[in-house]
Order: sequence, then C-alpha cells, then structure tokens
Amino acid sequence: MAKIFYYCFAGVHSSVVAASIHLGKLPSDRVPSLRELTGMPAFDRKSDNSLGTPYFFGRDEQDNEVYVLGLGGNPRFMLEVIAHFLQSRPGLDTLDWKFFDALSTINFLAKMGGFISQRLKGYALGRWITAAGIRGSYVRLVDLVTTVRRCNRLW
Amino acid sequence: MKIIYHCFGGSHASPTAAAIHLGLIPRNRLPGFKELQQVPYFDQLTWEHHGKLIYAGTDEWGNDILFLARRNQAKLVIGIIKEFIRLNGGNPDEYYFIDCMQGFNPFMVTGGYSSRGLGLVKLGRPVVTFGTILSFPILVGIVKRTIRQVGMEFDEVRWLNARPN
Repeated sequence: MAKIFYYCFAGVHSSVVAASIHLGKLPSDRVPSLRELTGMPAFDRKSDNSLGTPYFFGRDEQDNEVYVLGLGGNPRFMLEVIAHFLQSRPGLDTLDWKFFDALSTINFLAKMGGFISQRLKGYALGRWITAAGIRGSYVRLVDLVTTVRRCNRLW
Repeated sequence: MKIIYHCFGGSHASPTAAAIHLGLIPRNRLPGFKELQQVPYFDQLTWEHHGKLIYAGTDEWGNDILFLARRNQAKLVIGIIKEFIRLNGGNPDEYYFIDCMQGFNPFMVTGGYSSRGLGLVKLGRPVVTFGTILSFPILVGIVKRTIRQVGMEFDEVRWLNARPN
C-alpha cells in the first residue's frame, strides 16, 4: 500500500484535479465542464494555512492513499526536505511514498487563475479562469494520472 | 523531546546554539575564533545538506539536539516536517523548533554568504566567525530560554559556568 501525493503550488487546483481523476471522481475519457470542475469541494478551497499540509483525498482500488499537497514556489527544496525526513525514519520503505508534479502539466491560463484566486484573493474570478485553463490542460493531467496508475499497476 | 535549532544555512547560528546547549563550548564568556571553528559542522554545511535534520548530540536531560538549514522558508519547512511526522504515526509535539535567525548580524550574513554561498572560505570564515562571536550572548539567551520552555529544571548559574564537555 503506497501513499501517492500530487503536488502543485497551493495544492488546490491541478493537484486536486489530478487526484480526482486518479480516484475516478472526474472522467478520464472526456474533458469535464467548467461547472464539474468548480463544483468539486476541494477545488480552489482557501489555502492560507494549508501550504505544506497533505490533504487526504481518498483511497484507490488498491488501497493506496491519495493526497494533494501544496509545496509553494520551491517544490524541489521541499521535496528534498521530505526525502531527507523520510530517509531518516528507521524501517520506513521510502519507495512507498510517491510524489508527482501536477503543476507542470497545466497551462499559463490556469496558473494565472490560481494566482488571482490564491494570491490576490479574487476567488470568484480566479476559480473560473483556473477551471478554463485546466480544461485546456486536461489531456496532460489525464496522461500524468495514467502514467502514475500504470506505474502502480492500476490500469 | 527533540530540540531543533534552525537558521538559513544551518552552518553558523544553529550549530553554535546546539553546541551551547550541549556544553561543547563555554557559555559564560565569548569564545575565541579557534574554539568556535572547532564546533562540529561550524561553517561546513553546503546546499545539499539544506532541509536535513542533523543530529548534534543528546543533552543532560536526555533530549536529542538537532539542527536544520531551512533557507528562508521556516514556516513551510517546519510545517512539512511536522505533517510528515504525523503521517508516519509520530507525535509532532515531541519536536521543538527554535529559530536562531534573531542572532544574525551583518557580519554573519556577509561572511556566511561568502563562505557557504560563494565558496570564498578564506574570506568569509573569519568574518562569519567574528559575527557569531558578537551574537554569542544572544545565542546563549536563546538556548537558556529554550531549556526553560521545554520544562527542564536547571540551575542557571551552574549551567552557565559548567566546564565544556
């Protein structure tokens, strides 16, 4: 049983969509509508204090735990912090902790929407721009999840 | 209890605070250049050590003393470490993080950056050592406050005048 983490900047947009595709909450054979995306409870939730806090999203059919995680603007350093910490735990199989970058799959529009929503606190406008951007990047998000699930022999 | 002293690069203020806590250097007077440079890991860590909890020793009350380089993202790094302690079934309340950045002065910043950031050790090390000596009383104060905050009973005068281990 592995722990699968999808991470992005704030842990509220691309990682939430990737985790939703992974768990079958969003379709993988078509692009969802704007309302489907913005209607998800975890999508664009306020993330003031949630940066760095893994948000448990659910379990897949192989009982892997799926989390979303916001790692801020320097995810590489944060992943090093996590890797150092996990390696320091005696008897822990670090291969069971898997981290996947969802931010790199989304386009500029989605990132801009995320900035408006999370940084400028323009939630009402930002979430729709992000959702529109994510629709444009949805195929790449599905590709990411397909790869993750194939690596875990789920598909 | 695990007590973790943290600062930007984990090379100067935090290993010095850990050494003060562990009694590796005298606490009742300013240390000399050589004394300070003999502190384990002083001006030694590089970028690849950043984010890693480094074990310095165990104090007289049985607490593990560690230090950490967390760059300028203290809140996020500490938050992540605490969350992953929890995910691993540990208790994050057993980890006590202490910021040593308040002891920084311009000599520490410029010397530390020259030595660790630019690799100009010959130039930076004496400057950062001088800066750390200037900040030494502040670091002793931080350690004293920490010991009190974690609830350890100690005789302050005896602790200050204890001979280095």
